[in-house]
Amino acid sequence: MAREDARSRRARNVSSGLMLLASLVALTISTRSLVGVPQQLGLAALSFVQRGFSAVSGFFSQTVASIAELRRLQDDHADLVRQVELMANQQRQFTELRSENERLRGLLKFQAAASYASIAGRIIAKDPENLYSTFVVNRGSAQGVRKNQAVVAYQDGVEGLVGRVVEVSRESCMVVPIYDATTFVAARLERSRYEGLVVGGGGDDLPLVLRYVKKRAQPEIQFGDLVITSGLQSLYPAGIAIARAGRIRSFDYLNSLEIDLEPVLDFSRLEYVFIIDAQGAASP
Amino acid sequence: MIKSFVWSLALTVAALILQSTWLSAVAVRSVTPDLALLIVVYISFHGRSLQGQALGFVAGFLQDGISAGPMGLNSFVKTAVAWTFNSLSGKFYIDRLLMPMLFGFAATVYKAAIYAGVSLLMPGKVLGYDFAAATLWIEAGYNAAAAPVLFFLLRPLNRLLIPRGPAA
Repeated sequence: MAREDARSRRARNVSSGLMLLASLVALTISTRSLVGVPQQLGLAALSFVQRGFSAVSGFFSQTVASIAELRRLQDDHADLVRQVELMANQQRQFTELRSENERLRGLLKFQAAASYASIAGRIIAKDPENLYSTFVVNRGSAQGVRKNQAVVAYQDGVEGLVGRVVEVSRESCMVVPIYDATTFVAARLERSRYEGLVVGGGGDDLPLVLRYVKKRAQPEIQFGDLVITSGLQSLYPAGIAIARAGRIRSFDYLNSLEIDLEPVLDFSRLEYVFIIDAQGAASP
Repeated sequence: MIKSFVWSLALTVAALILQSTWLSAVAVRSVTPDLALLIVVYISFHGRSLQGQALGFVAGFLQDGISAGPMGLNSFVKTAVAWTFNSLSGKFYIDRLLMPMLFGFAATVYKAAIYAGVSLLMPGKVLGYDFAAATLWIEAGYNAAAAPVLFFLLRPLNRLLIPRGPAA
């Protein structure tokens, strides 16, 4: 009897369970609640692994990508630095070209206004021996340059005497400047008209000296008086500015004055010169 | 010998061109170092043959071509300097600093003395250094300063510049 009761209870429980299961299945089917559950379960399970894989691969790919990005950024940086350098160079060139353009415009005006024919040239070298102060200009006989032609330059709005041509080759010529110790220029004081002879001091930092000026001229000479070429030498056309008067020296044993002169040109800044033809010069 | 001479001449000519162009940028009161003279001194002292003198002769003539001095002046001066330093060859130990400085200074003063001598013989034709003026002493100082550097740079080129074998 007791055994039959236990067997029937078990059968009831199983049947109840089966019915519950059946009803649950029916409920699920009827409400379509389980549609997509397998996918969701799979997705949940797999996505966890995927996230793990993704995190690992993401770490490596981001690391690799970061390196690649870094490299790209480095390249970009190098490009930008190059561009900055290029632009800085262009800026410098632009500034230099602008100032050169202004200088050349000034020279062009001077050449157009000059009353004599001239050949423009550029100083390309200086004498390798310090004892001599000559320099080489890139114009020669091919351009019509001849020995003993006068050379002038235009600087800060002033035309000044540079020197004369002493040697000519086909494409270049050698110019001896007025400050060379071997150079003599017949000159006169522009205001008082007294004449003298300008002698070089031997270096561009040494003053020129105006010699053989009559002593009676002393009261009429003022500091800063302009000294110009007198034209008495056939080499240099008259009226070209040479220097300005400085200290005046009067020695008892000399019957003339000596005047220190400051050249109107700054020879250390000379770049371009004009080789002129004395025969073509206008009279003063 | 010929190969060494050609190399040393090429180097001296390059120095001449350099000192007439780019070196004016580092000139002190318009004075530049005389690198060509220093090269002649170096070759003359280290070579036992006549290479130094020949170099001074030819390089001097080339320098005369681009200088206002009369033709033959620099040739004479450089040959004389080379001969003197060649006669001193082997009589001094050349260190890296003091002896080159002394050589640079002495060569410049010696050059000025030769100029002065020639100028006395040919007054009005040849300029002479003014021993009381700053130009000479600036150049001597500049050459004294440049010589150790130049000699240091030339030393690795000895195989090219200095001929081997018995003295001529």
